[in-house]
Order: sequence, then structure tokens, then C-alpha cells
Amino acid sequence: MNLDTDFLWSVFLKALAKLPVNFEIAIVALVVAIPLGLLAAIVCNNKVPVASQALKVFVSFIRSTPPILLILIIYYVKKSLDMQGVIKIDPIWYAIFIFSLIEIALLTEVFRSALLSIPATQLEAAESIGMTKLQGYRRIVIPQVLGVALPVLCSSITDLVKMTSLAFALTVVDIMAIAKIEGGFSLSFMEAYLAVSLIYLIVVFVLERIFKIFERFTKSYADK
Amino acid sequence: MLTLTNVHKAFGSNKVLKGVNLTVEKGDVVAILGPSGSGKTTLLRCINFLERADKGRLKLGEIDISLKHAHSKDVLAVRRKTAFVFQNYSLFRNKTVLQNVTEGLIIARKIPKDEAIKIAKEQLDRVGLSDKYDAYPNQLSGGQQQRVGIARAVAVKPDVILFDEPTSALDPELVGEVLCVIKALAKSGITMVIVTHEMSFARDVASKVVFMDEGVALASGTPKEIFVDCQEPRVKQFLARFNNEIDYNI
Ligand SMILES: Nc1ncnc2c1ncn2[C@@H]1O[C@H](COP(=O)(O)OP(=O)(O)OP(=O)(O)O)[C@@H](O)[C@H]1O
Ligand SMILES: [Mg+2]
Repeated sequence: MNLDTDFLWSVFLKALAKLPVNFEIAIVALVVAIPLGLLAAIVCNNKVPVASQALKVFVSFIRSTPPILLILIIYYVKKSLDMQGVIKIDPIWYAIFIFSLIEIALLTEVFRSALLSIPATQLEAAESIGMTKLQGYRRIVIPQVLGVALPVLCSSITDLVKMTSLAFALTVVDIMAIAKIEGGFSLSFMEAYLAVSLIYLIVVFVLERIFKIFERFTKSYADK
Repeated sequence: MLTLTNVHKAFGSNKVLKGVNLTVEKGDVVAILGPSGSGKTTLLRCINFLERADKGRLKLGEIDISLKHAHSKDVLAVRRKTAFVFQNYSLFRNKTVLQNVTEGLIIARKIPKDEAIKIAKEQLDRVGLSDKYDAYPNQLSGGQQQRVGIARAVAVKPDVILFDEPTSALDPELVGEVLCVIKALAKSGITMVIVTHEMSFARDVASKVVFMDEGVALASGTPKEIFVDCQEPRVKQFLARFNNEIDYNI
């Protein structure tokens, strides 16, 4: 098989220019999902009536459905909304919406198990010297939860970045969409896909480097 | 200063506290003794609302509230007048030694940061930890951790400090240093309620001893009244082994 390296390189550059789209989806989804996931985990672990049951159903629904299926469902929602002309918004918002939901569900589970590893007396100690529950969570419990969850959080961020490559199915023009378009024009799909996988290779490599530094930074108290 | 009246608490069908009464005067060092499972920890936790009692009243200074129905505002008020020293130290694991002490001052009592640091350093020096300000709890021995726990409690200037078996998680050779610190606090006039199994400590340091059994305060009085004169058979039985040890020592 002959690789057209010039074409590969040109797709690489064109796709790279769309990388910010994937990053935007991933970052907004994370910014939404980290606080909401924490909140959901606290609600679940405190067995808040109704809310905790509802969250459990939501989490297991999202977690047991393949992401591509969720995206296709959202795609048909989008299509019918577009046709009725009710609202016409950039498809990236549909992508952000669905990836936020997926990430909330994943992080709720991550934070739930991290919370369970923090002894109840940590919060009690905060309350016993007159801090409110909110202050205790914010200053004592949540920092520890994030510390414990960090390795899993990092690998789930990597997964999320990779998962955003499904956004093209929502007609978002991201790096994957470029590969499909360029590949379709020239019928050299192999080069186009290789170009995208090269980008992902680099992105994931860089992310993992950053996370390594992060983990070393927070390790000072986490291990015991 | 602190009065508990008719405190009841059950976990499911397990009635743990069955009408406990307790009075603590300003400057008192009250030692609570009693067999395992008699409800000592539960009683302390109810005072600080770490556990909700099913019934009973609490008077602390001008606060006079129901232990069951207290509003969160009153709960906070009680917690800001009390402090708790935990059996397993329970230091904030994400904070340094110094931050463990300043946290309550800055966040709960709204004391300016530099003043909080000054107070915290004073208290840490007092428990002999002036060289450990920047250590994290997991870098300390049990005895050192518990001394930080005590400094954290004393620093917020509570009306009463509640100790739940402050030395029972410690290796025997570390018990002394912590008891020493508590003894010094007692001398300085801080009001304390201490659940302990250290009998000689209770006898020598406490101004008042309370014996708990099966969810009630069965007997209370001066150390002499409990250790020497008490005719209550349960108390005599419980103290027999300890008193025998003293005889051997003599
Ligand atoms: N959170 C809880 N849930 C259910 N039962 C509890 C709980 N806390 C305590 N108990 C029960 O209450 C009883 C009294 O416990 P408590 O810890 O107050 O005893 P104690 O006098 O402090 O004993 P020890 O000397 O062993 O510390 C025990 O039977 C215990 O099993
Ligand atoms: Mg106990």
C-alpha cells in the first residue's frame, strides 16, 4: 500500500486547525460535570430521598448506553427541532450537552467511590470546631475527594477527549469531520484517518504528561 | 455551665442512652468511666450534635435547647462553644499542622489570618510541636497527631472541650506525652469532659468522676467518692481490677 504523505500532512494541518472544537466540547463538558458530579455524588452518598434514587437511575441509564447511541438519539432530537424551526443553534451545543451528561454520570461514580474512602470523621472534625457542613465539604472533604479521584479523573478526561471524536455524527465540524470530508473528496481515507490518529496520539501523550506532574504535586498528603 | 438532662438515644432497637444527667461546672475536669458499650462516646457525640439524641435538654451558658429539636443555628452555636478531641485524632489530612489549627479560627470564628496564625503557633508551642508547623498529619506519630488535635480544640477557646478516649489509639509509650498535655490544660483551668480508660489519670486529674453503665450515669462524685467510698456493686466490680493493681504497686 502506498501512502500519500503529502496528502496526509495536508489533512493533518487542516484537522489540527479544528482541534479547538474538540477541546471546547471537552472543556465545557468538564467544567459542567466536575461540580455537578461532585454534588450528585454527595447527594447519593447522603441518601437524600428522591434525589438520590433519581440520580442512580440517571447514572445507570447513561452508563449502560453506548455513547454513540446517545449521540444518535440527540441527533434525531436535533433534526426534529431543526425541521420544526423551533430553535436553530450551533450543533456544538448538542455535543456539549450530551458529553456533559455522559461525563456527569461517569464522574458521579468516580466521586462517589472517592467520597467513600474519606472517613466520616473528617467532616465531623470540621463541624466539631464550628464549621458549617458546607464549609467542611468545601475546605476539607472535597479537596481530599479530588486528590483521591485524581488518577481516575485524569484517565477519564483522556477518554472524554477521545470520545469527542464522535461529535461529527452531530454535524459538528471537528477534527474527525475534516478527516471524513477530506477523505471523501480524495477517496484516500487511510491517510485522512491516520492524520487524525496522529493528532490524538500527540494530544493524549501531552495530556498524560501534564497529569503526571499534577499527581506528583498532590501526592504529598494523599498517600498514607 | 454545661447541664444535660434526661438524654435518650437509641440506634434502631438498641437503646444506648437511657436518661443520662450530667452537670459540668466551669473549670471542672470531668472523667467519664464505664465499661465498653455503655454509651460514653454516644453521650459526647450527642453534646456536640455529631449524633442527634432522641430526647433530652442541653444547657450551655445562655443556650438552653432540646437535643432532639435544636435548629441548625443553635447547633452551630453549641459547636462554637465546644470542641471535640477524637479517639483517632481525625486531623484534616489535606492541611498542614498549622493549617489544622488555623482552619477553625479563620473559617468558623472569622479571626483575621495573621492573628489566627499567631494563636495557632502559641497553641502548638504549648503542646510541644513548634518544629512541626508545616508537616502533614501522615508525617507525624500518633502522639504528635493527638497533640495537634488538642491544640486545634484549645485554639478556638471553647467553653468546654470534649475528649473521647484521647489516648486509647496510641502505642503505650506515647500515652504519657498526651496525658501530660491534658494535665497541663486541666491545671490552666480549661473545662473538660474526658472519656477515658486511664484510671489513675482519672483519679489524679479529674475534679469529678462519672461512672456510666448501660446507658445511665450510675454514680458520680469526687475521685475519692468513686474510687474509694462508692458502695455501688457495679462500680466496685469495674474498679476492682484497677484498685488491685494499686495494691500491688504498694
Ligand atoms: N452509629 C451507630 N450506629 C449503630 N449503633 C451504634 C452507633 N454508635 C454506637 N452504637 C452502639 O451504641 C452502643 C454504645 O456505643 P458507645 O460507642 O457509645 O460506647 P462506649 O461506652 O463509648 O464504648 P467504648 O468504651 O468501647 O468506646 C454500642 O452498643 C454500639 O454498638
Ligand atoms: Mg467509646
